[in-house]
Amino acid sequence: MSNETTPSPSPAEARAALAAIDETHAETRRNIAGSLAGPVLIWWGIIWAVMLGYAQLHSGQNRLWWVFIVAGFAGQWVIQKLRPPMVKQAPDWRAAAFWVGIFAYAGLFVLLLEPWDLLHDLSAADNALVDRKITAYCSIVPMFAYVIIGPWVSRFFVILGLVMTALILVGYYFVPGWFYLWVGLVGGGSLIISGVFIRKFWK
Amino acid sequence: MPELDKIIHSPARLKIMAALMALGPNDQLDFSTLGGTLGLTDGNLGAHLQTLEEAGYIKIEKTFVARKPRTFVRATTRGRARFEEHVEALREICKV
Repeated sequence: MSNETTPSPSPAEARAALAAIDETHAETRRNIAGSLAGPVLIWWGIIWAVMLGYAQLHSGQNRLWWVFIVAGFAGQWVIQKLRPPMVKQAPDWRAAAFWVGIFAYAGLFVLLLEPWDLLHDLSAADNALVDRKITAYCSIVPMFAYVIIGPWVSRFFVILGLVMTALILVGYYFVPGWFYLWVGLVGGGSLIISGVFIRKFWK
Repeated sequence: MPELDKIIHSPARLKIMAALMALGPNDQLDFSTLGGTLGLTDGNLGAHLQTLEEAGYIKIEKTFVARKPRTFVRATTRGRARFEEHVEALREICKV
């Protein structure tokens, strides 16, 4: 049946059909991602910003970090329950490549920084520095996730990951007194921006 | 020379295939999501899906998720190839 002759559309009709394809493609991706990934990213952005804001108020000492993490996962669970899956995904090599990339990047950073001696011999003054280093490390590694997924999802994420990494380093070196608030706003902000992006502007 | 596909050429079916092509090769899209995205009623969507399934361009799977019946749709390899050829034919026409 598909081999029957099809009346050939005019160039204008063909352009309209291609435009309809592009629009449908983008709309589908936005609907799927906006339903679950978008709200989850925004939620974790809020958790991140509040958790680091709390650390700033307590001079970098955040003994309640686990409460924020538990609240984050609880919120994510609720969001997932409220939004049934729109897509049944088949196993994808890109998901495995993503995690391998993240762990390799995280491991590479540890090997390069060689923090073993520093962690062994801490003075009270060094303690604050180590806390700041750990926070910077834990913030920079997730930014690499944006860089990895960028080529598959949108170039926007590559730029976002690189800009946010640079901003974290700026905070680390030039704004040490307000570093936790800085990272809270940069890290949380990037999650919120990416959540809004895939809900509204992803093509 | 790529050829237009008569089945995919219908505006509704063109959009259905475009929506399914937004997914990974073996990913399946929920029936309600598909209808909502395209602004089609269940009856209208069902009729077009049947045409596409009969041509071997899509696969429909009925299943249960959390004890509720759900219908998922995916483009087959044949459907993907025909859609890509159709898009290529449209691009050729645009060059004229």
